[in-house]
Amino acid sequence: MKMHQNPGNLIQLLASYRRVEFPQGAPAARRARIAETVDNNCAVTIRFAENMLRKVQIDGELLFSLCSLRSEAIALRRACRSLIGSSRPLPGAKYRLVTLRSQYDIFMSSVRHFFFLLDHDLAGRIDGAL
Amino acid sequence: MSKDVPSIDSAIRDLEELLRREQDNVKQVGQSMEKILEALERIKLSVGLASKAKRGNAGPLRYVGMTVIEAIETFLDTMGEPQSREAIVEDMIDGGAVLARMRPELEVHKSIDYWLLSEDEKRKKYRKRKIKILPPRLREHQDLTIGRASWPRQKHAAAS
Repeated sequence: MKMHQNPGNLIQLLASYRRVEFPQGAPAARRARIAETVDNNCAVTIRFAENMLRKVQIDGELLFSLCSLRSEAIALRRACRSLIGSSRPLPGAKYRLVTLRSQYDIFMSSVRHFFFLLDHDLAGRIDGAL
Repeated sequence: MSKDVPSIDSAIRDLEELLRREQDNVKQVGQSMEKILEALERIKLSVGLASKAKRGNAGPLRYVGMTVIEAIETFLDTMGEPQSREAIVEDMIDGGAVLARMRPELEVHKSIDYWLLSEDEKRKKYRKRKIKILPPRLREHQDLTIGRASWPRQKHAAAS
């Protein structure tokens, strides 16, 4: 599937996402790759949200959802930083991955809700994409 | 020689016959089109009547076509008093207000959260964006039940 670094619509955004799996007891290098994928998914979401926020001028669930999604993605990227680029074991890295997973679950729920507000059918495909 | 070359009369007759046949065909096509259009009209009417009959105040399709907040307000009006989140979520899923297959309760909770927010809370979230903020349509009480923001004070006081 073609990757869109600057997705212009929901289908392109969906195509930009890479699926993340959180296996138990992943080695440091694997943890770094997981964090990179999460970081990528957050980055495309932030770009999409910022583009859309420039266009949306009416208060509503959509605008609020976009603002929340953007803030969550920014916070999640911050959490990824400590795990990216470290192939050596970090103190508390396993715990950080568990925290990242729970944060990512919340982020996924927000993405699903955002898609749900715009397109019910696409919202159903989120779980296979993220 | 004269037998091989068709006369003008016969040629005209053939052409007349051909044109009549074509005219009949066109008439038949026209009649068929009319029948199809009538059938479509009947289908449209029956679908419209059926969906109205199916909706109503009860049944699994009572909130289909409404936004989540419209469905919540309808439910609260029907009950006449503030309801718990759980009751609202259950009724929204039961009435078809949420079409999400994965975690439909989440969609209802997010909608409730948004419509409970005050204008100041939203302005803080939007930062400096110059937009007209919508007023809250729901209100949460001390006992965590939720009512319509537009209800009279007495109704809210009874819950608080």
